[in-house]
Amino acid sequence: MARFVHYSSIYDSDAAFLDMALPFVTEGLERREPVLVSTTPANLALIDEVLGDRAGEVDYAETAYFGRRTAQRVAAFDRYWRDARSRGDAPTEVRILAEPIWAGRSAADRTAWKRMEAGLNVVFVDLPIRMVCPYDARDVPPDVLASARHTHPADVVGRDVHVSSGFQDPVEYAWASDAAPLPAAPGAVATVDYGSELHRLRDFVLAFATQHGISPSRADFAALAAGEVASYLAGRGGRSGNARAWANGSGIVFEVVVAGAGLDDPYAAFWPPSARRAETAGMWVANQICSQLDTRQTGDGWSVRLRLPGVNSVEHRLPDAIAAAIESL
Amino acid sequence: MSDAAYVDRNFQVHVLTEPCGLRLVGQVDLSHRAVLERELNRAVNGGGADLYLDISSLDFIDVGGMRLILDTAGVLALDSRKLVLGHPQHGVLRVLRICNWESAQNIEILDGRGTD
Repeated sequence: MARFVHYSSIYDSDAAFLDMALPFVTEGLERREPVLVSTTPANLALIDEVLGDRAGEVDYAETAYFGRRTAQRVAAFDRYWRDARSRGDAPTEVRILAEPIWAGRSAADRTAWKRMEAGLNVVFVDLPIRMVCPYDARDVPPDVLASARHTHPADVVGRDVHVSSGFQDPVEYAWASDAAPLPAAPGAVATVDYGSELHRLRDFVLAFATQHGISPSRADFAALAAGEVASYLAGRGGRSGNARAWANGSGIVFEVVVAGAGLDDPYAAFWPPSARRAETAGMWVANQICSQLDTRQTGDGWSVRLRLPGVNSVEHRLPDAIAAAIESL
Repeated sequence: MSDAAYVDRNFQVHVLTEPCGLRLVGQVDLSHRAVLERELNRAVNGGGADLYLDISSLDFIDVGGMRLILDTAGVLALDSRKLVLGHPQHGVLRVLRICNWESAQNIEILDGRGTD
């Protein structure tokens, strides 16, 4: 059984991109493997042009929309793999060319995406997925380029694979990433000391979200997310919990702090439920709901900070009704 | 017809005889997971054909609780029995959907109540 293969590919020209991408794609097609190309519109057009008649055999996704956040990106890969496996002629391996958007991201966003790249080595380890992640040296910030060698065991140039001597243990990578302090909370925050009564935490989150104009449906989801995080920490030795909440310009934030809890898996929130890890499914759900989920060690326990879009997020307040109607047909 | 098998302020379990199963009322989270597990096991071992769970009055269930229900369906499958989820509320259905468990084998979902 094939296992997860995860290479970076740093390129600096269209020709260099195609030197790598074309053999990767055509080899997959020759082997009758599902091939997904998730890259920029410019690179999709390049591949489309050189593949000619065969372009229709390749699955594609405009990368900015194939998993907007890291949690959704992992879920999107997982969905593609499960869909491929469920087809009649189950493939031995699935190929994915996965080029995230890096330009224009905030520092916190870049940290989250680098951390996800490291995490793919862990959560997909047993899956027969061959993934190459292209990095465009013309556009990508230097810190991101450097991270490619830390988060991928090897780099591909054309057809040649070069072992990355800088590859770091993905779990250590995540712990190091999570050692950086989070932005301080504002002076005024709402708090609840819920102890072990999770329904009190959910009620607190629901009330805070509702007070800040979040729709009932999204407020319910926020309460579910916070409850799942608290439940996970409680199941890991947590004694009693408290939470605080605040709103800032870009959304609302809930922080769940559980004394006595011990976390041993920095990627708990990334294991898809299909991995049949019952204990982390709730963390995965919380991560899907939030726009950002951060874990930090605090005193003798752990805290998990959940960020959600606020009422001033127009994208959420005025969803695209046409897209929704098309999807529901 | 139903008998209360478990009652507290936040969660109640009633045993149903026709069809054979349980009615779950209130909220299920970590604090009620052991109760739910015990009652599901009792229901599975109580004989009968399919197991009916009336969850129309279940206002909340966490992912771990839903996982227990899924695992129960898996046990029933070994006996060629299935699990019927009766009239889940929207919030409960959303937990199933987000985990992609809605189409789990051996679970039949009767229409939701249409409440949110």
